[in-house]
Amino acid sequence: MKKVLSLLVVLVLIVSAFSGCSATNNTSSETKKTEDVKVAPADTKTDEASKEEPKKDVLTIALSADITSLDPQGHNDTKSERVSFLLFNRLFRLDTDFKVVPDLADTWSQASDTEWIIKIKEGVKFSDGSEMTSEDVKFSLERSMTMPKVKHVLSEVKSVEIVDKYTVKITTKTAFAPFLYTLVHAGTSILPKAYVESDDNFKNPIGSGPYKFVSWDSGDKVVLERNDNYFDENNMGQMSKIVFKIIPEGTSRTIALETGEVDIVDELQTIDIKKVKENSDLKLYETPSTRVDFFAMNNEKKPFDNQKVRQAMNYAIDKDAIMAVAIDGAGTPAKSVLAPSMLGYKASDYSYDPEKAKSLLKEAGYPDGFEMTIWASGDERKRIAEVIQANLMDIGVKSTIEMYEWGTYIDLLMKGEEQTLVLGWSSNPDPDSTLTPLYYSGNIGGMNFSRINNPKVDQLIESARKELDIDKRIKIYNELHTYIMDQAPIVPLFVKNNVTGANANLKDVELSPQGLWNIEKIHF
Amino acid sequence: MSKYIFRRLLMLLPVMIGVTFLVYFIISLTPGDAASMILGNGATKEAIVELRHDMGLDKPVIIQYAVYVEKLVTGDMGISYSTGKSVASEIGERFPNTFKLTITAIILSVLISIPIGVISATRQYSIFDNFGMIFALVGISMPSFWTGLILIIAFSLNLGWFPSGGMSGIKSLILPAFTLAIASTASITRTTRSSMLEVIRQDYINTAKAKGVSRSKVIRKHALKNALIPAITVIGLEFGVLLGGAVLTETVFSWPGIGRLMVESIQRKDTPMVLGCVIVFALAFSLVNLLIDILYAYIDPRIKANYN
Repeated sequence: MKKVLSLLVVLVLIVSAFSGCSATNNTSSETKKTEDVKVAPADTKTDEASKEEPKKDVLTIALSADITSLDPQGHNDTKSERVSFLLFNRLFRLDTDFKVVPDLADTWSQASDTEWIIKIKEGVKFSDGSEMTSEDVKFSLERSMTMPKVKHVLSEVKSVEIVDKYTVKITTKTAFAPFLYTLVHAGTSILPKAYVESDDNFKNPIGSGPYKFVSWDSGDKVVLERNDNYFDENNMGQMSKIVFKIIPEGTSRTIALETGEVDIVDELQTIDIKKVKENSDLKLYETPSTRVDFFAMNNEKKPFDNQKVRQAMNYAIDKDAIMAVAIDGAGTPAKSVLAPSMLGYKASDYSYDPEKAKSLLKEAGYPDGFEMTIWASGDERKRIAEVIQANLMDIGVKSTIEMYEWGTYIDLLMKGEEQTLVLGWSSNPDPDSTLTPLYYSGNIGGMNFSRINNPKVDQLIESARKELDIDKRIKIYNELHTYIMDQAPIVPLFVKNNVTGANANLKDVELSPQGLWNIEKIHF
Repeated sequence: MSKYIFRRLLMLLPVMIGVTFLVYFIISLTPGDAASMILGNGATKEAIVELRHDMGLDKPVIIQYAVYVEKLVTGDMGISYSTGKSVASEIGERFPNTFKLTITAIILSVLISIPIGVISATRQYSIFDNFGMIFALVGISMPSFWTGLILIIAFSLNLGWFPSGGMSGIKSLILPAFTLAIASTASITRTTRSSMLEVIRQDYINTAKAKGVSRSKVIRKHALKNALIPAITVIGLEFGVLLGGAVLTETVFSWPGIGRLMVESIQRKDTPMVLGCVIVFALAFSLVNLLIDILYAYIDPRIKANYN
C-alpha cells in the first residue's frame, strides 16, 4: 500500500518538477506532445487501410439499447428480437408486406376450426449439429406458454401434441383467425429441447438460425457469426459476422454512422434525417411503421360523450403541422385507428377544416367552445399537445396541457381520470392486437384509453377475431374502420416513419413497418 | 494506523444500510410497476397480478426491504428484473469499465491540473495564470454531455483520430476520459493554485530561499508537499463527481459502464439492479475517501500523529 502511494506521489512530483523548469524545457515537452498526436492519426489510417478488406465481411449495426436476453422466450422487446431472429427460427415468419410465410413449417392444414396440423421441414439442424424434431417444437411452444414475458402470445393455445417425428397438432381454445400471426412472434422460436434442459442457461445459445452466437458484452456489443450449415440455402447469411453495437445516445449513433464505425443504425433520430440525406456516403431508408400516434378523448366525460364534439376535433386538428413540429415531418397523416399496413385498413375522410369543426360544435350545443385539459408525457408528445392546443384555440376551445412522468401517466390513464390525452400505439401485424386492447369495451380500465363502449364496435371486433376466411375478415375490418371513425373516439394524428441510415454501399437493406428487416440478407 | 483503518471500514456498514434503505424507499415511491414493465406490451392483467405476487411486490415495502437486506448480508444481490441475470455478475462485468474510465480521468486531471495550478501560483497574474484560470472557469462551466459531443464532433467526426464511442482499446478510452477529466481538472487546478499561493508566502519558504536553495527546488521540495493537502481533498471529492459524471459520459460515448447500467435500470424500474449499482457506487466512494484520509497522514506528519 505504502509503496503504491509513494509511487503515486512521486509521479505527481515528477510532473510538477517539469512545470518548475524553464520555459525552453516547457516548449520542448509541448513539441513532443504534438509529435505524439501527429503519429496517432497516421496510425489510424494504416489501421483502417489494413482493415478495409476484411471489414467488408463484417456488418456493424447500431442498436439504441442493449438486448435484455438471449433466450427468445425471455424477452419481449424489439432490440432483443433483432438478435434472436438471427439465432432462432419460428414456424412462420412475416414478409415485408406483413404476410405470413412459412419458416420452419413445411406444410400446414386445419383439421377443424380449432385444430392446426403443422409439419416442419425435415433435416433442419441446430448449430450444435442435432436435428430438429416435433419434440423440440412441442417443448418450445409449451415452454413459451409458461415463460412470463411471452406467455400472452400463445394464450389462445389449448394443447400441443406430437403426431409424428416432424408433425405437431396444435389445438386452440376457440376459432382464432390471427393464430398463424402468433407463431411469428420471437416468443414462439423453436429451441433444442436438450440444450434448454442443460444448465447452460442461454450463456451460449444454440439455435437453428442463419447466424450463430459468438459473444455478448453487456452494454457494449453482441457478436454473431454465419451459420454455414443453415438449412435454407436460399436465405443464407451474407456477411461472415454481424456485430450489434449498443449506442444509446441518438447523436452519437448518427456520428458513428458518419465516421463509418457502424454500417447501419437501427433507429435514426428524425432530426438527423437531413444530415444523412446530404451525405453522399450514406443512404436514408424510410418506411411507415405500425405506430399510430393519436389524440384520444375520454368518451365517458363531458363534452366528449357527444359524438359531434369528437368529430369536430377530427376536423380541428392540423396533422401536417403536428408532424412538422413533433417528428420533423417523418411520417404520414393517420386516417384511421390502424396503420395503413394493417389488414382491412380503410381511411376515413376527415380533413383539416376548422370552419366545419366550428359548425359541428355549434350543432352539438357548444357555440362558444369550452375549456378542457390535454394530458401528455414526454417531449415529443408535449410538442404534439402544443400544436393541438393552438388548433383548438382557432375553434374557440381553450385547453391547458398537463405533463406527467410516464409511469404515473399510464397509471392515471388506466383509471380514466383524463379528459383528453396524447399517446401512441405500435402494433403486432394482426389488427386484432390493436383493436381489442384499445377499443373493446372489456378493456375499459385497461388499454381502452378513449373508454369507448359501443356494442357494434365490440361485435365487429369479436366476429373478425373468429373469422378464418381472410376476405371475409378484411370486409369486417373495412366496416369497422368506417363505423369507428364515424364514432370518432380518437383523432388519429400520424403514422411515424421508421427511419434508418446506412452506408451507401450496403445492399439489400429492407425496412418493414416493424423496422430493420431480414438482417441476414444485408451485404456490401 | 491499522486500528483506524479497521474502524473506518466498520463504519461502512451503517453507511451502506442507510444508503440501501433510502434508495429502496425512493424507488418504491416512484410511479410505475415492475411487474408490468417486465411483462411488457400485451400482458394480461392476471399475469401481472400473478407476477407481482411471485416477486413479493404485493407485500409492504418494509418487508420487501427486510428480505432484500437478509439476502444481501449473505452476499446475494438478487436477480435483475429485466434481464433475469444475477445482479452481482452484471455489475462485476460493468464496474471494471467504469473504474478504468474514472481512474484514467483522475490521473489525467491530476497530471494536468497540478502543474497548471503550481505554475499559475508561482507566476500569479501572468498571462499563463490568466489563461489557466479562464481554462478552469470554462472547464467547470461545461456540462459533460456537451463537452463529450463537442469532442466527438471535433476529434472523431472531423479529424478521425479517435472512435466516437464504444470500448475497443486504448484509443476509445481517450475521449471519454478527457471529457470526464475536464471538469475535475478545473476545480483541482483552482485549489492547487490557491493553496500554493498561500504556502509560498510562508516564512519557511522565504527561509529556504534565503539559504540559497534553487527556485525549482523550493517549489518542489518545500512548497508543493504542503500545498497538495487541500488538493488531495478535492481530488477525493472529485472522484465522487466523476462517478456521477460517468453516468452522462458513458451514455454519450456508449461506454458499457455501471453508470449507464444504473440509468437503464432506473428506467426499467429494475430495483435490484439499481440498488446493486448504488451500493457499488457508495462503496467505491467511501473507500476512496478512506484512501484520501490515509494519504493525508502519509503527506502530513501532524495528521499522522493524531491517529497514533
